[in-house]
Amino acid sequence: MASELNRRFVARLRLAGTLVIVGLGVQVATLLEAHPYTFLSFLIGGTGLVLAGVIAFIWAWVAQ
Amino acid sequence: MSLTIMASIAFALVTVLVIVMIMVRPSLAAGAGGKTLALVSLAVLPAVATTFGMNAHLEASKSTEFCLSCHAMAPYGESLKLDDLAHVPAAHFQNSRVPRDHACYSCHTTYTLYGDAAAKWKGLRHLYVNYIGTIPEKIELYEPFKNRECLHCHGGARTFEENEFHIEYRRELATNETSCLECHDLAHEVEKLGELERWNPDGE
Repeated sequence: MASELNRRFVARLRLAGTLVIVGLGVQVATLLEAHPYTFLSFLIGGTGLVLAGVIAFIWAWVAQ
Repeated sequence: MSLTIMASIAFALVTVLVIVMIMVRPSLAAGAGGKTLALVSLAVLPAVATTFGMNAHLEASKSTEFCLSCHAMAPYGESLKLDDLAHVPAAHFQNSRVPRDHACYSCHTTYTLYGDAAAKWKGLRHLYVNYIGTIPEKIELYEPFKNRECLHCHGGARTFEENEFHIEYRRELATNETSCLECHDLAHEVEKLGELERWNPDGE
C-alpha cells in the first residue's frame, strides 16, 4: 500500500504532521496557566504552527 | 484545572496520537478512505482542538488572576482589599457579592477577551498596550460605567427594589440617565491606596 503513495507526498505529510503536533504541543503547554503571555503564545505560536501544518497538508494533497 | 481545560488537553492529545499513527504508517493515507482519514486527522481534528483550546483560554481570561497578572492592574486588585465597605468594589469582593475568582469580569464585561467581537478587540488592544504600547498614566473607562452591570444582579433584588431612592429614580436608573455611581461613588480609589487600611481576614 505504501508504494502507492508518492514519496514526496509522504515527506510533505510528515512535515504537516510535525507542524501540527508541535503546534498542538504549544497549545497544550499554554493551557496549563491563565496568563496573557500564555494566551498570546497560544494564539501566535500554537495556532500559527497548527495553521501552517494544515496548509502544508492541503498543499501536499493538492500537489499530489 | 477546569473541566474545559482538561477536555481541551485530552482532545489535543488524542489528535496528536492519530497524527503520529499516520506519520508512522503513511500507508494508512492511501486510497479514498485513507485520504479522508488524513484529512480528518491533519485538518479537521487540529481545527477542532484549536477551537476547544481557544474556548478554554477565553474562559480563563475571565479569572481575576488573569486580569491582575498585568502590572497596571495591580492597584485595582489591591483596591478590592480596602478595609472600608463604602468602597463598592471592596464591599462586593469581600462579601462575595461577586465570585472572587471572577471579580473583575463580573462588573467589567465590555472590554474583555471573553465578550462579543467588539469586547474581544478591545481586550486584544489591552494586551498590545500592556506589552508593546504605552500604558496611560491614568487608566480610564472607555465610556461611563453602565448601570446594566449593576442591575443584572441588583435589579429585582428586594434590597434594591424597596429602597426609597431606587423607587424614586427607577426610570432614570433603567435608562442610564442617572448613574448608580452618582450615589455609590467610591469605586477603585487607586490614588488613595497608600492612605487606606487593608482588610486582613486572617488577622495577621
